[in-house]
Amino acid sequence: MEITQARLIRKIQLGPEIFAYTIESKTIAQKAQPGQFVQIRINDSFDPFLRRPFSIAQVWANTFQIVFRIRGKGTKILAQAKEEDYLDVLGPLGRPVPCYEEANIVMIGGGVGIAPLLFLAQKARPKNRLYLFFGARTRTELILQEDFKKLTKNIAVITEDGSTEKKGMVTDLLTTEELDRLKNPLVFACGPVAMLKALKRNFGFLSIYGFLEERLGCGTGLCFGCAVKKKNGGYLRICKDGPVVNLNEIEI
Amino acid sequence: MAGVKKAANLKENQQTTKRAISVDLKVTIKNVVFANPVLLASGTYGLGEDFVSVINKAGGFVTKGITLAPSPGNPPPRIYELPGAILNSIGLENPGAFAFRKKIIPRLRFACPLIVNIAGFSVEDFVTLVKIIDCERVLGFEVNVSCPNVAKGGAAFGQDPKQVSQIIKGVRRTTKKLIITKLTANFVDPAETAKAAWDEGSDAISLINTLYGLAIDAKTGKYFLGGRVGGLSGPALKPFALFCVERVSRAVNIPIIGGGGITNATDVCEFLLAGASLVQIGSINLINPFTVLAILEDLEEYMRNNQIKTIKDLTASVNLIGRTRSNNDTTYLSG
Repeated sequence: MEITQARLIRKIQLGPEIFAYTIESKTIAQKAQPGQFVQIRINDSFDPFLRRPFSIAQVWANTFQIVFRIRGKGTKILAQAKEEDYLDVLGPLGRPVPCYEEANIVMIGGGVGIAPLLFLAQKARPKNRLYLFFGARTRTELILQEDFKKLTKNIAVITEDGSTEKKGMVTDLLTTEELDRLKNPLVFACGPVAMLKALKRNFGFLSIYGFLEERLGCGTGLCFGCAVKKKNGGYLRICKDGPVVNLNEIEI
Repeated sequence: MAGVKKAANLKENQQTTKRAISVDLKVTIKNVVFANPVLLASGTYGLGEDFVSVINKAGGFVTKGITLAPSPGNPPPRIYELPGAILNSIGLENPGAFAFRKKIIPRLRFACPLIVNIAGFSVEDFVTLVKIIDCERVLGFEVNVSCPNVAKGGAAFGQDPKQVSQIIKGVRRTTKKLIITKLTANFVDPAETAKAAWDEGSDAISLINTLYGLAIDAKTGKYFLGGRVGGLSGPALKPFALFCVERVSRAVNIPIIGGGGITNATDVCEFLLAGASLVQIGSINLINPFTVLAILEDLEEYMRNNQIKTIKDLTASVNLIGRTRSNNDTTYLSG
């Protein structure tokens, strides 16, 4: 882990208020593993005071990519950055996802939560079969489709407003029969808390690894500010014990 | 980026023009030698298991507050952010005194002085905490009578000079090690509680801890923090912290460890000038865990530029420095 002043190489707008930043950092690109994130200091002032966490969406030799939607003050300022600007980046942080021994990997994404699942899919081995279930509010928010298509044919999408063939929530795409057919798949989910809650409720018999994309304090495990309640008492630190955790082990 | 570049440029300067002057950052309190005056504040750097190479460079390391029984901490959310400050309600999450002594201390690998922050809920608690935790590895105790976000004890102790006396008297009888009393500035004149601690044999005073704060969500009509009450920290507090440090340093004749919103070497100098012998950096560690390294580099440079040979010369010399420095030299201060 280190702090670097990293150059923003490429800025692309993926959808309404959704951006993909490709950032140059050899160390982060080489060290980062799926599930990990970076903390970006938005500006040199103390407003916003804390860094903002961003999941790593993909890596190349000397660069990595983050994807974000404008949600508040921090992301609004970050969205003003221009190519060739330098960003103050701390990372990689967090515990990588467990290795994927299982043959079948199911990825469930909600909105921009799809981003870290791409990194995970890229690092899968040839023997892994990948299944993606992706839900968004509207068609234009179904981002990163082309990248996933390169990795798997098993993609199902759905939108809340019905601007695609199927209308509804991502959980509507999943049935117990379908998941049974995939024989103990390894399931990863990233999206809004409501989505993670619904998945836990409907498919609690599976071990679902959820990406907890919450506001953090330090991101490095020092401050104990990002607590999430463990099922059997006590708390986990999202930044250090997560951000990817077995949903059956926590209370959300 | 600017900070890194500046540090690099300064290094060049010092090699070409200022090579001859060597500076001494060492501060000794009682029998504990701090290689430099910058300590890592309790609660902002964990228990000392991570970032060992950074801790090694710090003047000293103060652990997260340790309670007698294990404490799960407060329910989330635990941090509320605002411009220039944060409000936290972690609630002293820690493994408890026994686990800390048996499992954590043997794992600590850093070389700088280990100071254990102890947080009791009664006078007896503090004494028991010292008895359990004291060992060769521990060089001192920071007696925490100022935690704002626990239900009982905490800052309530620090608001009453009599309670402070009782606690320090008990701890002093129990250990010969360095005792630092960490005072609160909430609803009390810290000069009074500092005198109480000094009278009972406290070797040093540290202040200010965080200030009481509430965050309320107007949308939901609920408290924002899971623990309801939080402790405010960060650069917004610095003027108040400086005021308190100066006030307390004039009331007692033991070293002051000052802190409250320090983010850089200039802030460190300000606290020393106000009367502190050492400082603690806290909230800034959450933004940049390597801050102490940058501060030390810049602090040495400041001393060289200002012909200050030992850090002790800075302490409580606010007027003296102002008279003897040229404008040219002080430009760095505002940089």
